[in-house]
Amino acid sequence: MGLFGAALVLPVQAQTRNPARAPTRGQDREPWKTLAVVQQHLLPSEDHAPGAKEIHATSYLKNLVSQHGLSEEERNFITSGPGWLNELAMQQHKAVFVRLTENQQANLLQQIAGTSAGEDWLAMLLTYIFEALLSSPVYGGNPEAIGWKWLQHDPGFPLPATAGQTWQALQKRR
Amino acid sequence: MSDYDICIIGSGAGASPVALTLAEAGHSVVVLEKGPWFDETDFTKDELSCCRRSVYTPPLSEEQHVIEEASDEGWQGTPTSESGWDFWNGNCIGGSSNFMSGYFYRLKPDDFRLRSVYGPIDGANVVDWPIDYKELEPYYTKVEQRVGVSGRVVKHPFQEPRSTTDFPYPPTEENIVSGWIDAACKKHGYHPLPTPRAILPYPAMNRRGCAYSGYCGSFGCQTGAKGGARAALLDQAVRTGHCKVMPHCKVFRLESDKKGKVTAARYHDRQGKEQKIHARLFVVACQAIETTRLLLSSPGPKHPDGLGNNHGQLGRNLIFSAGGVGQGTLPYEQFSKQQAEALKMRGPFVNRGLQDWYFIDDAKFGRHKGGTIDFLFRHPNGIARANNQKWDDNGRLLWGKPLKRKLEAYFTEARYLRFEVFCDWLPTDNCFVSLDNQIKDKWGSPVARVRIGFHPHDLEIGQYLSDKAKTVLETMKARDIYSSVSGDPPANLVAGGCRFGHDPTRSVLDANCRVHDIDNLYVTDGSFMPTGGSVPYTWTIYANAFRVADRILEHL
Repeated sequence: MGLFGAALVLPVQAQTRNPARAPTRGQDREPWKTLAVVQQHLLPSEDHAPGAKEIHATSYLKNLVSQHGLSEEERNFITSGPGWLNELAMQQHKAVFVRLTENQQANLLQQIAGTSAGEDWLAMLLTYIFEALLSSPVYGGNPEAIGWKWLQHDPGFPLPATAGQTWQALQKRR
Repeated sequence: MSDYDICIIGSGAGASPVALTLAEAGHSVVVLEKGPWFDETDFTKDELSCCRRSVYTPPLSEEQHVIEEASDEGWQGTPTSESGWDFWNGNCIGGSSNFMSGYFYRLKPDDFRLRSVYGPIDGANVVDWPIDYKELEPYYTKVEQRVGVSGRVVKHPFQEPRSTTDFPYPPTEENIVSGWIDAACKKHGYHPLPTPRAILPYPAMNRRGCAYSGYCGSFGCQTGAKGGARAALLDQAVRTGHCKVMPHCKVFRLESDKKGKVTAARYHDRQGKEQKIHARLFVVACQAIETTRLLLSSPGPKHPDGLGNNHGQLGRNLIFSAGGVGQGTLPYEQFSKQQAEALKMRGPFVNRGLQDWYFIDDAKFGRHKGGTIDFLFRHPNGIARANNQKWDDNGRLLWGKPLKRKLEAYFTEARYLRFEVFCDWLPTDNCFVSLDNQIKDKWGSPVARVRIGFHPHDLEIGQYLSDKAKTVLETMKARDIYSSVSGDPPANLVAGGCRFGHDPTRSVLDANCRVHDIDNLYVTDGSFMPTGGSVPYTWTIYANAFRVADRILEHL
């Protein structure tokens, strides 16, 4: 049984297993295929308000993971989640998560949110959805300031406009 | 042989006044800063850089602290790489002053004689300062002029004496809410103060004026209007041609000779290679915790337990700022369309404080040293604000359309007026800095171990002031008013550890901030403060560093 199947209360350090390698393939492959569907549940698209798809949440997260923008622990935790989710999906529905109906998927997400590890995983995905929603478009999310417009958020000025002004570049200068 | 007249370790608010004063007098000055050299062109309003990836401070995996907190089993130390509780405040040229909000308050005359005026408090090590307000006043004025402080003097029960009638710069532009705060305060008979700010409202001194972006605290200033140490002072020091500023130089030890005189600063350069600089005189200003750490890490023939520690005083009586925070919601629907649009405006400042209870004389509560209340809007960082919305009232994770409706309401239907309470963090035997005997930084030096005990009296004063602040929010008809007073230290408001005094057995520095038994070593950051006053420390650190710089000039 995957980690999400048990009502475990574990410190974050203990939640990482089966570390996945940083993805080098497209978003139609795992774990990104499953992550994209989960992200869309977390921030669904609506006529008046962008969802995970519109804010480019999956490619934003994929960039972060592949460019080592996160700690190894976080990377492993994020990318291991789909494996655990699919174990649970197979156990309950004999199909992987992305093949389930939307209601079945939603139900599984509610189940894992009842575990400490599952809730931590979803909470972490939400944090990076918010980054894709509200950070500068220079980082790949929030295209054409769609997130700022939706929430009427004034991001201040100036914003990072060049590669040299991004956090990755500034971090290298420390 | 000396490479320089004066070697300064650190480049922030305690270091830069000394560098400027000495360089202007023609002395050769070198400033060693462990962080990089960022300037206006690097500073953008990027929440990822400043706050989520913390690029202006070191990774905790490489440089950290061990924080000791009280528990049922006694004092328990936790490395910050495990807790995530970051005690760095800005490690780059100019130090943490790059990222301050610029709330600038002077201390008041009684802050220099708390013990005499209010008497002892059990369990607290309150002492009078060895200097009085009169001695520091000219330097507060100097900071107004050289760093650039904007504000407006108004009549007030506890207005400190001034040698000039008003600030050299008028206040920055204000949000409509400032007038509403004034009106609410006046209903209660309070005396609202325009908060002085180290922010230029218009171009001056080769710096641009405020651009009213609305993102000050935690962010570097892209115009130079904010009076951070680099923009306001260190850039000028460099222009004299007598001051060399060296980034990426991590000083790990000061060498001293048999007479106790400091001879050299040993540091690691960016490549990790060990280097050494000799100077006639040394100044340490690395912010309170790291200053103590460096002195403890520098034993010598005459100082076997660290420089300035022959009486076991080094690192003791560390102080933070006590107090609390609170907030009220101002729903746009409560106001006319025009008022709501004005309230939404991001750039103009709130600029309001209350010092009616800086000294408390209350029939029920008694006579105590009180503090300052400052009003401000909730920090505008979008990601942080969104992240706070993902939990429901029962602490369960929220997502999907319910989360989106909550985000819309939070971001678009109201503005959030907060207050911060600043009161004295009483110095006690349970708040001090030592060296950890296990954890080392990336260069192999022991990290600072910080015990952060507080005195329960701090909470009583904080609660008294919070209750007063809430009356203003209530009168403004704010909704969902709450406050929180705790003994958790704000890591960015830290001082003490090398208190100054006349008695060498009970203090580390003399009245001129020279280490008692070391002729050529001064400390000019906030470490000197025996008590902290009830305001942010930066203005006092700047003023005292200018004062000590004059004493050093006489010394040289």
